[in-house]
Amino acid sequence: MKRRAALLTAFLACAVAALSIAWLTRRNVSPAPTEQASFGVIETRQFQARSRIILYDSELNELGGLPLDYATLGCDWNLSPVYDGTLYVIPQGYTTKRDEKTVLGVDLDDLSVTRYSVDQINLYGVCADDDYIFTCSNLNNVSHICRIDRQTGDVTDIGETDTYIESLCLYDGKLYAFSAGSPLSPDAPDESTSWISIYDRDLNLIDTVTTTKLGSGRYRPVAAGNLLIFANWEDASRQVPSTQLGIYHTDTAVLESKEFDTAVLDALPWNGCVLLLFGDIHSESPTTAALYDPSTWEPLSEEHNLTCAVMQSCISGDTLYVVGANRELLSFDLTDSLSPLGRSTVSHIDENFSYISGMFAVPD
Amino acid sequence: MYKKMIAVLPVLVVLLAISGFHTPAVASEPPVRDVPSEEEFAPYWEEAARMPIMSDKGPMRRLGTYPTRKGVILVTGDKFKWIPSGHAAIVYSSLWVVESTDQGVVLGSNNWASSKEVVYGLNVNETTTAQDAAAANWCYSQIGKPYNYNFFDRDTRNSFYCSQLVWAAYKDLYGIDLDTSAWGNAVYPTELVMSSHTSTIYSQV
Repeated sequence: MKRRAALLTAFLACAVAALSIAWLTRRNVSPAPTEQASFGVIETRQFQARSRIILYDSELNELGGLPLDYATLGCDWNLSPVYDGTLYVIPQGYTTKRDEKTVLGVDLDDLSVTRYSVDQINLYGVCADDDYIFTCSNLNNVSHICRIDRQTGDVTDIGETDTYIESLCLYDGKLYAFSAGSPLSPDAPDESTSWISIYDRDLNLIDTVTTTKLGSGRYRPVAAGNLLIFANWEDASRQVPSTQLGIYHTDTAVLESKEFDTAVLDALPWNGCVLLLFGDIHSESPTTAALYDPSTWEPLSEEHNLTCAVMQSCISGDTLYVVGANRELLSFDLTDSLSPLGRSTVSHIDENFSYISGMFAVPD
Repeated sequence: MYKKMIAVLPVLVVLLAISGFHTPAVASEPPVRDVPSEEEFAPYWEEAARMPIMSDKGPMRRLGTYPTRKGVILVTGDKFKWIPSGHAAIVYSSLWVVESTDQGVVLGSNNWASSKEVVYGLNVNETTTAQDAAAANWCYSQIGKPYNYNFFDRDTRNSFYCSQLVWAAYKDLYGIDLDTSAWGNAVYPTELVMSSHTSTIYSQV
C-alpha cells in the first residue's frame, strides 16, 4: 500500500513537472519587452514547422520573439495586418499541403495567441475589424472569402468561380477583394482581366470595378484617407511589372491611375503623404522610394536609393523599416528625406534555411 | 521492483513531455511507393549544383536572373518531410506557377527565390518560347486533378505528381522526354535538371 502510494505520488510529481516543462518550453515566449517594440518581422520556412515572430526596437535591436510551430507562417507577398494592437497572420502549413485552415491573432502587448478556424485550404489573405476577421483562399480556380465572427467563431463563406482573389482590404465598412481572372470554363473572364469586387460586411456584392488596364498582382492594397492605393506587380501582359499605380476613390467610386517611370512595388501612407517604393519583387536591384502628395501625386522628396532589394516594409512613427532579399534590416528617417538611420541583419531561428515572410509596425 | 519502477517512471514521463514539444502529428499520408532516400538523391543534387548557367531563350535578360517567363521549369531541392526528392513546377506568369501538391494540380506563387533554399530554373532546349508557353497552358488545364502518389505511373493523365506534370506537358505536346535513365519509369525533379533536353538558366544553391 505504501509502495503504491509512493509510486502514485512519484508519478504525479513527475507528470506535473514534465507538463510544466512542456508548457513553458513550448510557449518559450522570450520575455520580449513589447512596450519597447517598434516593429516586428515574421521568419518561417515552407518545409519545416518551426517559425517565429521577432520584435525589434527603433534602433533595430532584437527584443525577443514568439516561436510558433507552423510551416509557411505568413504569406510573403500578402500583408499580415495589425488591427487594434493584434497581428493577424496565417500559418499556411507545409507548402505542398497548405491545410492548417487557421488564422492566428497575436496580441502585440503580451504575445498571447488566439486561433480562428476556417475550413478552407490555401488561405493567404486576411483583414479584420472590431467584429469580424475576413480571409481569402483559392483552390482549383475557386476563391473563397470567409468571414469569422469574433464572438461566436461562426464562419460565413462565399465562393467566386474562375477567380483568383489576390488580397483583401477593409475600409469604412466595406470589403474590397482585388481579383484576377483564373478561368477554367471557356466563357469565364480571361486571365488578363482584373477587377475589384466590393462587398458589405455580410459579404453581399455591392459593386465591381474593372482594373484590367492597370494590370494585376495587387497583394498589398492600402487605405490612405478615402483612397485605396495599390501597386500592380504585373501589367496586362502578365510578364512584366506594371508602372501604373492604382488609386480608387472610395467616396466617388472613381478609379484612376498614375503612371511612373519605373514599376511601383509598394505604397505606405504616412502623415498625410504616401511613400511609394519602386522596384520589381523579383529583381535584385536596389529599391528606391519617394514621398508623394496623394492629392496631386507630385513628389514631395527626391527618389532615394534604399540600397537593398526590399521584400517587406513598414512605417512606425516617422521611420521606414525595410527587410531586404538578403535579410538586411534597414531604417530611414521620413522627416529627413529618407536619410539612413541604421542597418542590421535579421538573425536566423536555427541552422536550417528560413525566409522572411512578413513585417509589421507595432502600434504605440 | 517498485523501486525500479519509481526510478524509470520520471524518465518515461519526461520523454513523453518532450515529444509534445514538437509539431503535432500531421494527418497520415497515402503511401508513397519506393521513393529513393535522401542519400540516393544526394549525388544528383550535387551534380545539379555544378551545372553551368546558360542564357535563357526569351527576351534578353541578365544571365542568372530569376525566371518569370511562361514555360520555364522550376525545380527545388528543398526536402519535404515525407518526400526527399524535391519539388517541381512550371512558370505560368511572373507571379504564378502551376504545380502539383497534396491538393492536386494548383496555382502557386512564383516566389521561389525567396521562399526556397535550393532553386533551379530550366529551359527546354528544343522548343520555342511560344511552345514553352503552350506547355504552361497545358499544365494549367490540368488544375483540379488529384495528386499521383504512384511515382512509377508517369503515364496516367488522371493525376499528377509535381515533376510528372511538367514532364507530361513536354512529352504529350512535343514528344520530348525530359526523364533520364535513373529510377526507371519515375521522373523525379532532379532528373529534370539532369536531362539532356534542359539547360539551367537560374541556380540558387
